Amino acid sequence: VSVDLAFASLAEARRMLDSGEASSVELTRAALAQADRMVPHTNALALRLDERALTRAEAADGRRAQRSTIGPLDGIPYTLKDIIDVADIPTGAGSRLYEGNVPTQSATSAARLEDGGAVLLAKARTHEFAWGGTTLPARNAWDPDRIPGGSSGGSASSVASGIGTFTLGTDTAGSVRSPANFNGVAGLKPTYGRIGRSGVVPLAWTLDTVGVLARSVRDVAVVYDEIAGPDPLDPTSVATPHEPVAGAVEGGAEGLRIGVPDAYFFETIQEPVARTVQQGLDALADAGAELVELTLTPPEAVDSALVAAFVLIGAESSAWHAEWIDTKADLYGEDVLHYLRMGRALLATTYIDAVRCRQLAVECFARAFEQVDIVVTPGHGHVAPRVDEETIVFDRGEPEGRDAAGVRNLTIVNLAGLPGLIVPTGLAGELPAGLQLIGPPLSEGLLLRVGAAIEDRVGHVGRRPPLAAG
Amino acid sequence: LYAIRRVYPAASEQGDESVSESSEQSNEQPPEELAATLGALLDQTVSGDLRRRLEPEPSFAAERAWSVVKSRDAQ
Repeated sequence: VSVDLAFASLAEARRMLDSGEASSVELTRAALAQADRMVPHTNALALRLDERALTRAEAADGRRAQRSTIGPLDGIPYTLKDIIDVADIPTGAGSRLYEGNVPTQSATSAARLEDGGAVLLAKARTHEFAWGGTTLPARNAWDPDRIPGGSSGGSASSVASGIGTFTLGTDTAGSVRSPANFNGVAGLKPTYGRIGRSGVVPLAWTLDTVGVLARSVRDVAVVYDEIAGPDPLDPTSVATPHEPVAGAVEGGAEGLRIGVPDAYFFETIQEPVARTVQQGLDALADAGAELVELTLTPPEAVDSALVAAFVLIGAESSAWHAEWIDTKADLYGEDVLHYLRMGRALLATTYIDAVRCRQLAVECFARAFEQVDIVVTPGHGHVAPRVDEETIVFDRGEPEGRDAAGVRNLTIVNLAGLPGLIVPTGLAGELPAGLQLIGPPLSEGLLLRVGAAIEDRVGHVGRRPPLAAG
Repeated sequence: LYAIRRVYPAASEQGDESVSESSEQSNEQPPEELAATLGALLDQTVSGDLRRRLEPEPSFAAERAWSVVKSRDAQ
Protein backbone atom coordinates (compact mmCIF):
# COMPACT_ATOMS: atom_id res chain seq x y z
CA VAL A 1 0.00 0.00 0.00
CA SER A 2 1.43 3.35 -1.03
CA VAL A 3 2.67 5.71 1.66
CA ASP A 4 2.29 8.48 -0.90
CA LEU A 5 -1.43 7.75 -1.01
CA ALA A 6 -1.67 8.13 2.77
CA PHE A 7 0.07 11.52 2.60
CA ALA A 8 -1.97 12.84 -0.32
CA SER A 9 -3.42 16.28 0.25
CA LEU A 10 -7.17 16.65 0.26
CA ALA A 11 -7.07 18.20 -3.19
CA GLU A 12 -4.89 15.36 -4.50
CA ALA A 13 -7.12 12.74 -2.91
CA ARG A 14 -10.23 14.29 -4.47
CA ARG A 15 -8.53 14.47 -7.87
CA MET A 16 -7.54 10.80 -7.63
CA LEU A 17 -11.04 9.81 -6.57
CA ASP A 18 -12.62 11.82 -9.37
CA SER A 19 -10.24 10.46 -12.02
CA GLY A 20 -10.47 6.88 -10.81
CA GLU A 21 -6.74 6.85 -10.08
CA ALA A 22 -7.57 5.73 -6.54
CA SER A 23 -10.67 4.62 -4.68
CA SER A 24 -11.82 5.55 -1.21
CA VAL A 25 -11.11 1.97 -0.15
CA GLU A 26 -7.52 2.38 -1.36
CA LEU A 27 -7.15 5.70 0.47
CA THR A 28 -8.57 4.10 3.59
CA ARG A 29 -6.31 1.05 3.36
CA ALA A 30 -3.30 3.33 2.91
CA ALA A 31 -4.25 5.32 6.03
CA LEU A 32 -4.80 2.13 8.03
CA ALA A 33 -1.42 0.83 6.85
CA GLN A 34 0.13 4.02 8.22
CA ALA A 35 -1.63 3.30 11.50
CA ASP A 36 -0.07 -0.19 11.48
CA ARG A 37 3.32 1.39 10.83
CA MET A 38 3.16 4.34 13.24
CA VAL A 39 0.92 3.48 16.20
CA PRO A 40 3.46 1.02 17.67
CA HIS A 41 5.74 4.08 17.93
CA THR A 42 3.23 6.85 18.71
CA ASN A 43 0.34 5.11 20.50
CA ALA A 44 -1.77 7.91 19.05
CA LEU A 45 -5.05 6.07 18.62
CA ALA A 46 -7.56 5.15 21.31
CA LEU A 47 -9.91 3.06 19.18
CA ARG A 48 -9.51 1.76 15.63
CA LEU A 49 -12.58 1.29 13.46
CA ASP A 50 -11.05 -0.56 10.48
CA GLU A 51 -14.07 -2.61 9.48
CA ARG A 52 -16.53 0.25 9.76
CA ALA A 53 -14.15 2.51 7.84
CA LEU A 54 -13.77 0.09 4.95
CA THR A 55 -17.54 -0.40 4.77
CA ARG A 56 -18.08 3.35 4.59
CA ALA A 57 -15.30 3.69 2.03
CA GLU A 58 -16.98 1.07 -0.17
CA ALA A 59 -20.23 3.02 0.12
CA ALA A 60 -18.43 6.22 -0.91
CA ASP A 61 -16.94 4.44 -3.91
CA GLY A 62 -20.43 3.25 -4.81
CA ARG A 63 -21.78 6.79 -4.70
CA ARG A 64 -18.92 8.02 -6.86
CA ALA A 65 -19.56 5.27 -9.40
CA GLN A 66 -23.16 6.46 -9.60
CA ARG A 67 -22.03 10.12 -9.82
CA SER A 68 -23.86 10.91 -6.59
CA THR A 69 -21.08 12.03 -4.26
CA ILE A 70 -22.35 14.04 -1.32
CA GLY A 71 -19.67 16.65 -0.76
CA PRO A 72 -15.97 17.46 -0.87
CA LEU A 73 -15.14 15.04 1.94
CA ASP A 74 -17.02 12.05 0.53
CA GLY A 75 -14.68 9.06 0.79
CA ILE A 76 -11.92 10.98 2.59
CA PRO A 77 -10.44 9.21 5.67
CA TYR A 78 -10.09 11.08 8.96
CA THR A 79 -9.81 10.66 12.73
CA LEU A 80 -11.60 12.31 15.68
CA LYS A 81 -10.36 13.24 19.12
CA ASP A 82 -11.84 10.80 21.59
CA ILE A 83 -14.00 13.35 23.37
CA ILE A 84 -16.13 14.00 20.29
CA ASP A 85 -19.16 11.71 20.18
CA VAL A 86 -20.17 9.53 17.28
CA ALA A 87 -23.40 7.62 17.77
CA ASP A 88 -22.88 3.98 18.77
CA ILE A 89 -19.09 4.30 18.97
CA PRO A 90 -17.46 4.48 22.41
CA THR A 91 -16.19 7.85 23.60
CA GLY A 92 -13.40 7.17 26.08
CA ALA A 93 -12.29 10.74 26.90
CA GLY A 94 -8.93 9.28 27.88
CA SER A 95 -10.38 8.27 31.23
CA ARG A 96 -11.20 5.09 33.12
CA LEU A 97 -14.30 6.98 34.22
CA TYR A 98 -15.69 6.72 30.72
CA GLU A 99 -15.09 3.02 30.18
CA GLY A 100 -18.20 1.59 28.54
CA ASN A 101 -19.57 5.01 27.57
CA VAL A 102 -21.33 4.72 24.23
CA PRO A 103 -23.21 7.84 23.09
CA THR A 104 -26.47 7.53 21.22
CA GLN A 105 -26.12 10.81 19.35
CA SER A 106 -23.26 12.25 17.33
CA ALA A 107 -21.67 15.61 18.00
CA THR A 108 -22.85 18.20 15.52
CA SER A 109 -19.35 18.49 14.06
CA ALA A 110 -18.98 14.73 13.70
CA ALA A 111 -22.48 14.39 12.26
CA ARG A 112 -21.64 16.90 9.54
CA LEU A 113 -18.57 14.87 8.57
CA GLU A 114 -20.44 11.58 8.64
CA ASP A 115 -23.33 13.04 6.65
CA GLY A 116 -20.78 14.34 4.15
CA GLY A 117 -19.45 10.85 3.52
CA ALA A 118 -16.09 11.20 5.28
CA VAL A 119 -14.60 7.92 6.49
CA LEU A 120 -13.85 7.73 10.22
CA LEU A 121 -10.73 5.62 10.74
CA ALA A 122 -10.30 5.85 14.50
CA LYS A 123 -10.75 7.83 17.68
CA ALA A 124 -7.51 9.58 18.55
CA ARG A 125 -6.04 9.80 22.04
CA THR A 126 -6.81 12.79 24.21
CA HIS A 127 -5.31 13.89 27.50
CA GLU A 128 -7.82 12.75 30.14
CA PHE A 129 -10.94 14.91 29.72
CA ALA A 130 -8.75 17.29 27.68
CA TRP A 131 -7.31 18.58 30.97
CA GLY A 132 -3.59 18.59 30.18
CA GLY A 133 -0.86 19.18 27.66
CA THR A 134 0.97 15.88 27.18
CA THR A 135 -1.58 13.26 25.99
CA LEU A 136 0.69 10.52 27.30
CA PRO A 137 1.03 7.67 26.49
CA ALA A 138 0.70 9.09 22.94
CA ARG A 139 3.93 10.28 21.37
CA ASN A 140 5.12 12.81 18.84
CA ALA A 141 5.09 11.74 15.19
CA TRP A 142 8.53 13.25 14.57
CA ASP A 143 10.25 11.72 17.58
CA PRO A 144 8.54 9.12 19.79
CA ASP A 145 10.79 10.12 22.68
CA ARG A 146 8.88 13.42 22.77
CA ILE A 147 5.36 14.40 23.77
CA PRO A 148 2.83 15.14 21.04
CA GLY A 149 1.47 18.09 23.02
CA GLY A 150 -2.08 18.24 24.15
CA SER A 151 -4.75 17.77 24.73
CA SER A 152 -5.43 16.83 21.08
CA GLY A 153 -2.06 15.08 20.93
CA GLY A 154 -3.36 11.87 19.38
CA SER A 155 -5.12 13.82 16.64
CA ALA A 156 -2.03 15.84 15.73
CA SER A 157 0.36 12.90 15.86
CA SER A 158 -2.01 10.80 13.73
CA VAL A 159 -2.52 13.26 10.92
CA ALA A 160 1.20 14.11 10.88
CA SER A 161 1.82 10.37 10.45
CA GLY A 162 -0.45 10.05 7.42
CA ILE A 163 -3.26 8.41 9.39
CA GLY A 164 -6.12 10.23 7.71
CA THR A 165 -6.25 13.40 5.64
CA PHE A 166 -7.50 15.52 8.53
CA THR A 167 -8.65 15.27 12.12
CA LEU A 168 -10.75 17.19 14.61
CA GLY A 169 -9.56 18.24 18.04
CA THR A 170 -10.73 20.63 20.72
CA ASP A 171 -9.06 23.78 21.98
CA THR A 172 -9.82 25.26 25.40
CA ALA A 173 -6.44 26.79 26.22
CA GLY A 174 -4.39 25.81 23.16
CA SER A 175 -5.23 22.12 22.78
CA VAL A 176 -5.48 22.14 18.98
CA ARG A 177 -2.71 24.61 18.31
CA SER A 178 -0.09 23.28 20.72
CA PRO A 179 -0.04 19.72 19.35
CA ALA A 180 -0.40 21.01 15.79
CA ASN A 181 2.73 23.10 16.26
CA PHE A 182 4.66 20.28 17.93
CA ASN A 183 3.76 17.84 15.15
CA GLY A 184 4.25 20.17 12.18
CA VAL A 185 0.66 20.35 10.94
CA ALA A 186 -1.76 23.23 10.44
CA GLY A 187 -4.29 23.70 13.23
CA LEU A 188 -7.26 26.07 13.38
CA LYS A 189 -8.98 27.12 16.59
CA PRO A 190 -12.08 28.98 15.39
CA THR A 191 -13.92 31.89 16.95
CA TYR A 192 -15.70 30.74 20.09
CA GLY A 193 -19.09 29.40 18.98
CA ARG A 194 -18.30 29.14 15.25
CA ILE A 195 -18.17 25.31 15.28
CA GLY A 196 -20.81 23.66 17.43
CA ARG A 197 -19.78 22.18 20.77
CA SER A 198 -22.77 19.90 21.18
CA GLY A 199 -21.79 16.26 21.64
CA VAL A 200 -18.28 17.13 22.84
CA VAL A 201 -17.32 16.25 26.41
CA PRO A 202 -16.89 19.70 27.97
CA LEU A 203 -13.80 20.89 29.75
CA ALA A 204 -14.78 24.55 30.27
CA TRP A 205 -17.97 25.69 28.58
CA THR A 206 -16.96 29.30 28.12
CA LEU A 207 -13.65 28.47 26.46
CA ASP A 208 -14.15 25.17 24.60
CA THR A 209 -13.94 25.13 20.81
CA VAL A 210 -13.77 22.37 18.21
CA GLY A 211 -10.87 22.80 15.78
CA VAL A 212 -9.43 21.29 12.60
CA LEU A 213 -5.94 19.88 12.00
CA ALA A 214 -4.50 18.82 8.63
CA ARG A 215 -1.19 18.67 6.82
CA SER A 216 -1.87 21.94 5.02
CA VAL A 217 -3.77 25.15 5.60
CA ARG A 218 -5.72 24.57 2.40
CA ASP A 219 -6.97 21.21 3.67
CA VAL A 220 -7.99 22.82 6.97
CA ALA A 221 -10.04 25.40 5.04
CA VAL A 222 -12.09 22.77 3.19
CA VAL A 223 -12.88 20.82 6.35
CA TYR A 224 -13.67 24.00 8.28
CA ASP A 225 -16.25 24.96 5.66
CA GLU A 226 -17.98 21.61 6.11
CA ILE A 227 -18.45 21.86 9.87
CA ALA A 228 -18.66 25.58 10.68
CA GLY A 229 -21.95 27.37 11.20
CA PRO A 230 -24.81 27.62 13.66
CA ASP A 231 -25.39 24.62 15.90
CA PRO A 232 -28.96 24.56 17.18
CA LEU A 233 -27.89 22.29 20.03
CA ASP A 234 -25.18 24.65 21.29
CA PRO A 235 -26.50 27.70 23.20
CA THR A 236 -23.25 29.56 22.63
CA SER A 237 -23.20 28.95 18.89
CA VAL A 238 -22.66 32.03 16.73
CA ALA A 239 -25.96 32.69 14.95
CA THR A 240 -24.44 34.28 11.84
CA PRO A 241 -24.48 31.87 8.88
CA HIS A 242 -21.05 30.62 7.87
CA GLU A 243 -19.59 32.11 4.69
CA PRO A 244 -17.36 29.52 2.97
CA VAL A 245 -13.68 30.42 3.03
CA ALA A 246 -11.87 27.71 1.07
CA GLY A 247 -12.56 29.40 -2.26
CA ALA A 248 -10.75 32.54 -1.13
CA VAL A 249 -7.70 30.89 0.38
CA GLU A 250 -5.51 31.85 -2.59
CA GLY A 251 -6.01 35.57 -1.94
CA GLY A 252 -2.50 36.14 -0.57
CA ALA A 253 -1.26 38.64 2.01
CA GLU A 254 -0.47 41.65 -0.20
CA GLY A 255 -1.05 44.94 1.59
CA LEU A 256 -2.10 43.46 4.91
CA ARG A 257 -0.74 44.93 8.14
CA ILE A 258 0.62 42.19 10.36
CA GLY A 259 1.20 43.08 14.02
CA VAL A 260 4.31 41.61 15.67
CA PRO A 261 4.01 42.04 19.46
CA ASP A 262 6.96 43.83 21.01
CA ALA A 263 6.69 42.01 24.34
CA TYR A 264 5.89 38.66 25.95
CA PHE A 265 5.41 36.40 22.91
CA PHE A 266 8.94 36.67 21.57
CA GLU A 267 10.64 36.93 24.96
CA THR A 268 11.16 33.23 25.58
CA ILE A 269 12.36 31.48 22.45
CA GLN A 270 15.12 29.03 21.66
CA GLU A 271 17.49 30.07 18.88
CA PRO A 272 16.67 27.27 16.37
CA VAL A 273 12.96 28.01 16.82
CA ALA A 274 13.59 31.75 16.39
CA ARG A 275 15.23 31.08 13.02
CA THR A 276 12.28 28.97 11.87
CA VAL A 277 9.80 31.59 13.08
CA GLN A 278 11.80 34.25 11.22
CA GLN A 279 11.35 32.23 8.01
CA GLY A 280 7.62 32.64 8.49
CA LEU A 281 7.91 36.37 9.07
CA ASP A 282 10.13 36.67 5.99
CA ALA A 283 7.51 34.77 4.03
CA LEU A 284 4.87 37.29 5.08
CA ALA A 285 7.08 40.17 3.94
CA ASP A 286 7.79 38.35 0.69
CA ALA A 287 4.04 37.97 0.17
CA GLY A 288 3.69 41.75 0.32
CA ALA A 289 2.45 42.12 3.89
CA GLU A 290 3.65 44.97 6.07
CA LEU A 291 5.08 43.82 9.40
CA VAL A 292 4.30 46.32 12.14
CA GLU A 293 5.71 46.33 15.68
CA LEU A 294 2.73 46.20 18.00
CA THR A 295 2.33 47.07 21.68
CA LEU A 296 -0.52 45.12 23.24
CA THR A 297 -2.32 47.10 25.94
CA PRO A 298 -3.16 46.97 28.72
CA PRO A 299 -0.15 44.80 29.66
CA GLU A 300 -2.21 43.21 32.46
CA ALA A 301 -4.31 41.54 29.77
CA VAL A 302 -1.37 39.51 28.51
CA ASP A 303 0.23 38.95 31.90
CA SER A 304 -2.93 37.63 33.54
CA ALA A 305 -4.25 35.49 30.69
CA LEU A 306 -2.77 32.14 31.73
CA VAL A 307 -3.88 32.41 35.33
CA ALA A 308 -7.33 33.69 34.37
CA ALA A 309 -7.89 30.82 31.95
CA PHE A 310 -6.60 28.31 34.52
CA VAL A 311 -9.16 29.63 37.00
CA LEU A 312 -12.02 29.49 34.47
CA ILE A 313 -11.09 25.95 33.45
CA GLY A 314 -10.61 24.85 37.03
CA ALA A 315 -13.93 26.23 38.21
CA GLU A 316 -16.01 25.14 35.22
CA SER A 317 -14.49 21.66 34.98
CA SER A 318 -14.90 21.02 38.70
CA ALA A 319 -18.54 22.07 38.43
CA TRP A 320 -19.08 19.58 35.61
CA HIS A 321 -17.26 16.75 37.40
CA ALA A 322 -18.57 17.74 40.85
CA GLU A 323 -20.07 14.53 42.24
CA TRP A 324 -17.35 12.30 40.78
CA ILE A 325 -14.46 14.19 42.38
CA ASP A 326 -15.19 12.38 45.64
CA THR A 327 -17.15 9.32 44.61
CA LYS A 328 -14.93 8.24 41.72
CA ALA A 329 -11.65 9.86 42.67
CA ASP A 330 -9.70 6.64 42.15
CA LEU A 331 -10.67 6.57 38.48
CA TYR A 332 -9.04 9.91 37.62
CA GLY A 333 -5.42 10.44 36.77
CA GLU A 334 -3.47 12.14 39.54
CA ASP A 335 -2.94 15.37 37.59
CA VAL A 336 -6.57 15.80 36.56
CA LEU A 337 -7.89 15.04 40.04
CA HIS A 338 -5.49 17.62 41.47
CA TYR A 339 -6.79 20.33 39.14
CA LEU A 340 -10.42 19.39 39.72
CA ARG A 341 -9.90 19.68 43.45
CA MET A 342 -8.17 23.00 42.92
CA GLY A 343 -11.13 24.21 40.88
CA ARG A 344 -13.55 23.23 43.62
CA ALA A 345 -11.54 25.24 46.14
CA LEU A 346 -11.62 28.48 44.15
CA LEU A 347 -13.60 31.38 45.54
CA ALA A 348 -16.50 32.69 43.48
CA THR A 349 -14.82 36.09 43.54
CA THR A 350 -11.72 34.54 41.98
CA TYR A 351 -13.87 33.22 39.14
CA ILE A 352 -15.38 36.67 38.71
CA ASP A 353 -11.92 38.22 38.61
CA ALA A 354 -10.97 35.73 35.89
CA VAL A 355 -14.02 36.82 33.88
CA ARG A 356 -12.88 40.42 34.35
CA CYS A 357 -9.48 39.45 32.97
CA ARG A 358 -11.24 37.99 29.96
CA GLN A 359 -12.70 41.43 29.29
CA LEU A 360 -9.18 42.82 29.49
CA ALA A 361 -8.09 40.32 26.82
CA VAL A 362 -10.98 41.37 24.57
CA GLU A 363 -10.05 45.03 25.03
CA CYS A 364 -6.43 44.28 24.28
CA PHE A 365 -7.13 42.66 20.93
CA ALA A 366 -9.97 45.01 19.96
CA ARG A 367 -7.45 47.86 20.20
CA ALA A 368 -4.77 45.85 18.38
CA PHE A 369 -7.08 45.22 15.44
CA GLU A 370 -7.68 48.93 15.06
CA GLN A 371 -3.99 49.10 14.06
CA VAL A 372 -3.37 45.82 12.24
CA ASP A 373 -5.28 43.17 10.32
CA ILE A 374 -3.86 40.19 12.17
CA VAL A 375 -1.36 39.52 14.95
CA VAL A 376 1.45 36.98 14.59
CA THR A 377 3.32 35.15 17.36
CA PRO A 378 5.51 32.05 17.58
CA GLY A 379 3.41 28.93 18.19
CA HIS A 380 5.91 28.02 20.88
CA GLY A 381 9.35 29.25 21.83
CA HIS A 382 10.59 25.66 21.94
CA VAL A 383 10.23 22.33 20.15
CA ALA A 384 8.25 19.38 21.51
CA PRO A 385 9.77 18.43 24.87
CA ARG A 386 11.17 15.00 25.61
CA VAL A 387 8.82 12.84 27.68
CA ASP A 388 10.99 13.31 30.78
CA GLU A 389 11.63 17.03 30.20
CA GLU A 390 9.45 18.81 32.74
CA THR A 391 11.15 22.21 32.57
CA ILE A 392 11.84 24.19 29.40
CA VAL A 393 15.02 26.27 29.34
CA PHE A 394 15.11 29.28 27.04
CA ASP A 395 18.04 31.33 25.79
CA ARG A 396 16.95 34.15 28.09
CA GLY A 397 14.39 34.54 30.81
CA GLU A 398 13.59 32.01 33.49
CA PRO A 399 12.87 28.35 32.77
CA GLU A 400 9.19 27.49 32.50
CA GLY A 401 7.20 24.42 33.38
CA ARG A 402 6.39 22.18 30.42
CA ASP A 403 2.62 22.67 30.55
CA ALA A 404 2.88 26.44 30.97
CA ALA A 405 5.36 26.78 28.13
CA GLY A 406 3.10 24.63 25.97
CA VAL A 407 0.27 27.15 26.01
CA ARG A 408 1.83 30.47 27.04
CA ASN A 409 1.42 32.01 23.56
CA LEU A 410 -1.95 30.40 22.88
CA THR A 411 -4.32 30.72 25.82
CA ILE A 412 -5.06 34.42 25.55
CA VAL A 413 -6.68 33.66 22.19
CA ASN A 414 -9.20 31.39 23.93
CA LEU A 415 -9.75 33.97 26.63
CA ALA A 416 -10.68 36.61 24.05
CA GLY A 417 -12.79 34.16 22.01
CA LEU A 418 -10.73 34.77 18.86
CA PRO A 419 -9.66 32.51 16.00
CA GLY A 420 -6.04 31.33 15.93
CA LEU A 421 -4.20 29.36 13.27
CA ILE A 422 -0.92 27.44 13.53
CA VAL A 423 1.12 27.47 10.33
CA PRO A 424 4.24 25.29 10.35
CA THR A 425 7.22 27.22 9.01
CA GLY A 426 9.87 24.51 8.95
CA LEU A 427 12.12 22.40 11.14
CA ALA A 428 14.12 23.71 14.06
CA GLY A 429 16.84 21.10 13.95
CA GLU A 430 14.84 17.94 13.33
CA LEU A 431 11.56 19.04 14.89
CA PRO A 432 8.73 21.27 13.61
CA ALA A 433 8.12 24.86 14.62
CA GLY A 434 5.69 27.46 13.36
CA LEU A 435 3.73 30.66 13.66
CA GLN A 436 0.39 31.46 15.24
CA LEU A 437 -1.87 33.90 13.39
CA ILE A 438 -4.57 35.63 15.46
CA GLY A 439 -7.47 37.59 13.97
CA PRO A 440 -10.69 39.37 14.95
CA PRO A 441 -13.85 37.33 15.56
CA LEU A 442 -14.98 35.38 12.50
CA SER A 443 -11.81 36.19 10.54
CA GLU A 444 -10.97 32.52 9.93
CA GLY A 445 -10.99 33.10 6.16
CA LEU A 446 -8.40 35.86 6.47
CA LEU A 447 -6.17 33.73 8.70
CA LEU A 448 -6.36 30.78 6.32
CA ARG A 449 -5.59 33.03 3.37
CA VAL A 450 -2.50 34.45 5.05
CA GLY A 451 -1.54 31.00 6.28
CA ALA A 452 -1.64 29.67 2.72
CA ALA A 453 0.62 32.52 1.58
CA ILE A 454 3.15 31.54 4.25
CA GLU A 455 2.79 27.86 3.42
CA ASP A 456 3.59 28.54 -0.24
CA ARG A 457 6.89 30.17 0.68
CA VAL A 458 8.35 28.09 3.50
CA GLY A 459 8.19 24.70 1.80
CA HIS A 460 7.10 22.66 4.82
CA VAL A 461 4.03 20.99 3.29
CA GLY A 462 5.06 17.57 2.02
CA ARG A 463 7.70 16.95 4.70
CA ARG A 464 7.09 13.67 6.47
CA PRO A 465 8.21 12.48 9.89
CA PRO A 466 11.17 10.11 9.42
CA LEU A 467 9.40 7.04 10.83
CA ALA A 468 6.31 7.71 8.71
CA ALA A 469 8.09 8.36 5.45
CA GLY A 470 8.16 4.77 4.26
CA LEU B 1 1.16 24.68 36.17
CA TYR B 2 1.87 28.28 35.38
CA ALA B 3 5.06 30.28 35.38
CA ILE B 4 3.74 32.55 38.03
CA ARG B 5 7.04 33.96 39.22
CA ARG B 6 7.90 35.14 35.74
CA VAL B 7 4.45 36.38 34.82
CA TYR B 8 4.07 38.21 38.10
CA PRO B 9 7.54 39.51 38.97
CA ALA B 10 6.12 42.24 41.18
CA ALA B 11 4.44 39.71 43.41
CA SER B 12 7.65 37.76 43.83
CA GLU B 13 9.64 40.84 44.58
CA GLN B 14 7.19 41.74 47.31
CA GLY B 15 8.19 38.51 49.00
CA ASP B 16 4.62 37.34 49.37
CA GLU B 17 5.01 33.58 49.54
CA SER B 18 1.39 33.03 48.67
CA VAL B 19 1.89 34.47 45.22
CA SER B 20 5.48 33.53 44.47
CA GLU B 21 5.30 29.86 43.68
CA SER B 22 7.08 28.84 40.51
CA SER B 23 5.33 26.84 37.85
CA GLU B 24 6.20 23.26 38.70
CA GLN B 25 5.68 23.87 42.38
CA SER B 26 2.00 24.44 41.62
CA ASN B 27 1.68 20.77 40.78
CA GLU B 28 2.87 19.92 44.25
CA GLN B 29 0.86 22.54 46.12
CA PRO B 30 -2.24 21.18 47.83
CA PRO B 31 -5.32 22.07 45.73
CA GLU B 32 -6.63 24.51 48.31
CA GLU B 33 -3.31 26.36 48.47
CA LEU B 34 -3.08 26.49 44.69
CA ALA B 35 -6.60 27.91 44.52
CA ALA B 36 -5.66 30.56 47.07
CA THR B 37 -2.52 31.41 45.13
CA LEU B 38 -4.49 31.88 41.94
CA GLY B 39 -7.05 33.99 43.76
CA ALA B 40 -4.31 36.22 45.17
CA LEU B 41 -2.78 36.66 41.75
CA LEU B 42 -6.01 37.72 40.10
CA ASP B 43 -6.89 39.91 43.05
CA GLN B 44 -3.58 41.67 42.48
CA THR B 45 -4.35 42.13 38.76
CA VAL B 46 -7.94 43.25 39.11
CA SER B 47 -7.27 46.03 41.58
CA GLY B 48 -8.13 49.70 41.89
CA ASP B 49 -9.70 51.19 38.79
CA LEU B 50 -9.90 47.84 36.99
CA ARG B 51 -12.04 46.35 39.77
CA ARG B 52 -14.51 49.20 39.38
CA ARG B 53 -14.37 49.42 35.59
CA LEU B 54 -14.52 45.78 34.55
CA GLU B 55 -18.03 44.46 34.80
CA PRO B 56 -17.90 40.68 34.55
CA GLU B 57 -19.88 38.89 31.88
CA PRO B 58 -20.54 35.41 33.15
CA SER B 59 -22.63 34.52 30.09
CA PHE B 60 -19.70 35.24 27.80
CA ALA B 61 -20.16 35.23 24.04
CA ALA B 62 -17.35 36.39 21.77
CA GLU B 63 -19.45 38.56 19.46
CA ARG B 64 -21.29 40.23 22.31
CA ALA B 65 -18.13 40.82 24.31
CA TRP B 66 -16.53 42.28 21.24
CA SER B 67 -19.35 44.69 20.54
CA VAL B 68 -19.45 45.80 24.18
CA VAL B 69 -15.79 46.77 24.07
CA LYS B 70 -16.10 48.48 20.71
CA SER B 71 -19.13 50.46 21.83
CA ARG B 72 -17.51 51.55 25.07
CA ASP B 73 -14.28 52.59 23.36
CA ALA B 74 -16.29 54.65 20.88
CA GLN B 75 -17.90 56.66 23.67
